[in-house]
Amino acid sequence: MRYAGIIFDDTAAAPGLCLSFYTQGCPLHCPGCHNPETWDPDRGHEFTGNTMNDILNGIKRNGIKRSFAVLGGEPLAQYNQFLTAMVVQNVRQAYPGIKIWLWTGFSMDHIMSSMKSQPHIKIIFNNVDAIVAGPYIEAERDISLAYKGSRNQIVWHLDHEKNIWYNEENDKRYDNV
Amino acid sequence: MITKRDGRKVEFDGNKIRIAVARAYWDPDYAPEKPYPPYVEDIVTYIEEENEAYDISVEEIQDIVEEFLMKFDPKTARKYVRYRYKKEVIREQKDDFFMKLKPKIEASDVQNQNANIDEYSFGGRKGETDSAVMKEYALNYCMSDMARQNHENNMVYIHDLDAYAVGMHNCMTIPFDDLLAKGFNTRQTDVRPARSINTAFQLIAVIFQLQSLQQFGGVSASHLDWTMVPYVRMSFAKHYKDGWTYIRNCPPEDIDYEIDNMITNAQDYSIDDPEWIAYDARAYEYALDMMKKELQQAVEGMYHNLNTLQSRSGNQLPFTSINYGTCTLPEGRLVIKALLEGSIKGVGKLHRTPIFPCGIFQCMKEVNRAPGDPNYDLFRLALESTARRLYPNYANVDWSGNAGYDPKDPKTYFSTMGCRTANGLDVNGLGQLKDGRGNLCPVTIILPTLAMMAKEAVEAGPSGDGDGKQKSLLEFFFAILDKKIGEARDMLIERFEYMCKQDPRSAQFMYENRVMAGYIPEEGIRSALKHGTLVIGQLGMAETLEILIGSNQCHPDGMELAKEIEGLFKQRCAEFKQEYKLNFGVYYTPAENLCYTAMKKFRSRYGIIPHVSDHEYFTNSIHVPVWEDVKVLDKIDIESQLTGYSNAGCITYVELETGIINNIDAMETIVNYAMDHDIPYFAINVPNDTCLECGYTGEFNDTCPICGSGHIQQLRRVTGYLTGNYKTAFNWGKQKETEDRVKHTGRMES
Repeated sequence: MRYAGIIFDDTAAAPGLCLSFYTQGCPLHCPGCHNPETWDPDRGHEFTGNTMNDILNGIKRNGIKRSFAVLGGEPLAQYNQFLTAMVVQNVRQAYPGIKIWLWTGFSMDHIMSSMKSQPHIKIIFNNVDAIVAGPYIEAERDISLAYKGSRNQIVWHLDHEKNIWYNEENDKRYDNV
Repeated sequence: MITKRDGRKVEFDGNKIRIAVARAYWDPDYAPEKPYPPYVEDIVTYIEEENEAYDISVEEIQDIVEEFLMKFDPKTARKYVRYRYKKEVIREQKDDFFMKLKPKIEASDVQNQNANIDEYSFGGRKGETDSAVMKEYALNYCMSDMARQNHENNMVYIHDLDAYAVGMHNCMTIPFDDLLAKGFNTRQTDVRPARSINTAFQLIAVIFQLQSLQQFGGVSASHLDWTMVPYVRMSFAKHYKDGWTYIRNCPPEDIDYEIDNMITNAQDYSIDDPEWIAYDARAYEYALDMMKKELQQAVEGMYHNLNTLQSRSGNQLPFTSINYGTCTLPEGRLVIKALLEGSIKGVGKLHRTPIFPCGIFQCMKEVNRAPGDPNYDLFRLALESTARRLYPNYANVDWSGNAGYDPKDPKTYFSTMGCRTANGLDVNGLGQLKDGRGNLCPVTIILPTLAMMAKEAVEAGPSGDGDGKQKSLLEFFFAILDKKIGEARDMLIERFEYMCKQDPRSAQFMYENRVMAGYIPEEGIRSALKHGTLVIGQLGMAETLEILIGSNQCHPDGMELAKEIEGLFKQRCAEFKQEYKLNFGVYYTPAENLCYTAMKKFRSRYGIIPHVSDHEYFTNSIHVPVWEDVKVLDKIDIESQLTGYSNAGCITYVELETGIINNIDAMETIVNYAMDHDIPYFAINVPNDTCLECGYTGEFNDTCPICGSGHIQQLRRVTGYLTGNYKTAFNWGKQKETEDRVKHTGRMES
């Protein structure tokens, strides 16, 4: 299992101070991608028990609880699903109260129609609070946007009571997997 | 005709030759009544004849005289030659002196010592030239040899040397409450007390400017939200009266006595007083609306005024700072909101980031720090302003170093000059009062020089300091440091005494209007100056630790030694304060120009030493070097262990990314973390590049990502204040420092 890197004090990937975990490997190859060095699944670093400890300790460094974000690479790529599921599950167990965000290049439509039966998607979707979904489209680029790179991307929030994914930009809703 | 040295032609005057020769002949017993040497007429006649043939020059005349004397009177000739040489040296010195001024007069070598001064302007060129003359004078005629040598040898630096010889002081927290309530006198007229919020904000700008001419440093308001409460009320009452007469279509005399009394004494009645609504709800709404509009206009006016008013012969803006954020009265809250909205809105056609005033939001527990606190919403708005505009910075009212303040008196709340200079506890009776006090003058100990002196002493061996024993590097260093802290004290006392000798007419606005607190005319200006602060600053802690132990304060052993050094500063200043009854304090100097000039001097003596002099500047005070790769909260952890030693002013910064505009929660976490770690004064740096074509602001270096224009202003912070484009306004050292700044968030690690 490989990963690209960690930003211990990030302010861009989730609300509040946040620890960002970058998976390695992405099948989508969006033109203009911010992190093309994360495309090749064989590059990056070997994920070990120490890496998991670094994440868990990093979230509470300085006595401050951070949010947690998984980005990529593509955290939902088949070869990354196990790692993503394991990491978000571990983080959730250690810190039940924090916000966990996931950034994926797949659209919510695509995930819900053709990915939700994949083995680890359920674990992932039941341990995160928000998903930034959709491919990066260079023509839609807008650097002033919060928590996304291009206008087409959508930030989905989980309504924990209703177990429904909603967003603030349109009326579409998805039942959680 | 004779051709003089400067090219002018004048009539030949034989007497000049007669006197010059007589001086040499009779030397040293020359007196005008003594006879000329017998052969003088021969020389004069000879030169007269030569001169008829062509326009002979002064130098040629002197050659002729010299040759003649050598032939007929060698003894006099020797004296003549000596005399001629002496005159030449004096002439050259004079030339040297004026030639040093030439680049300043012509603005041909602009150094940007102070980013706020326009050295290209007429005023700036004149000011820089004056400054060079005044510095030279101060060094030569106003101070002891000890002080001069410390300054010239890069050991203890005397700041603002150009203001030394006239005895000016540094900065001032202005007692605006009094000046607005009582009015004030100027040279030409007097100004009546403010009676509306609009006037009050205009007078803030006027008073800032007037006071900035009485001193060489910055001016601040310590609690502007509280200060403005009565004027918000007065404006409200005025509008209430207008609204009532208009709505009712009645003359104002018809207003009931009780309400009329409230209007007349508006400063005593809250705008939330139920009587206002009960008497006429429409008039109340009208008054509230109009007052808010007036307030917004007034605040925008102040922002524009403080970015346009020039002072000090027109080459700089007054360094102005406003502290606010703790007033929970409805009027104070409106003022805070208007100040923050004005800051966010920006100034000018493109809504550019205001450079002045430096806004400082005063964080206070149970007032504005957490959800549920009455001013929490304003804290959030402040954070948004900081993300967009770099201001406000954050002052910590709960800071342990401001113990003894009165929670009921905002004049004693911790406030600061934008740069960082703060008024600590007054040893002469004013307690934690901020208003009417300021720093008198700073000196800065250049720590790396002392560390190198210690190193040289060790290398010199056991005889190094004469007692025959081999001391360690640290023992030498602490001995030298202790001596220099003592000399710094003496240098400050020298300058203080010099200031006390000045005539109060030198700063009539300040003394006549009691801007400086405590002034008793019969006792002279010392009665006021004694409440000011005398501060011992420092430069280059990180580099000093590298010299002494090969690591800096980011590492445990470096931190331990840093604390020991700061402990000595703090202990000595506390002792001096009691012994001399003067407000000595430890200061973390904003060495804007010194960080660069001290390094230049250091390098010329010691060369380039890795981790010490391999950058173009020394790291200011105790800061973590800008190039150190530290995480945001870790930087606060490190610096907060050292800021407690400074009672005369310090600042802690972190560098964030522009995307922070979308993440105010992260800002809140960071600012609260700093406050909880007892940081007195905290600032956040966010790159602020503004497109001068479309106004877009972000981080994009040389091309606007929105409109593609290359017409960009790159705003960065220097010494607590902002300034114009850093690439043109900063000195070379600060430009390099700015480019070396490592962001404390958003870096990928594996």
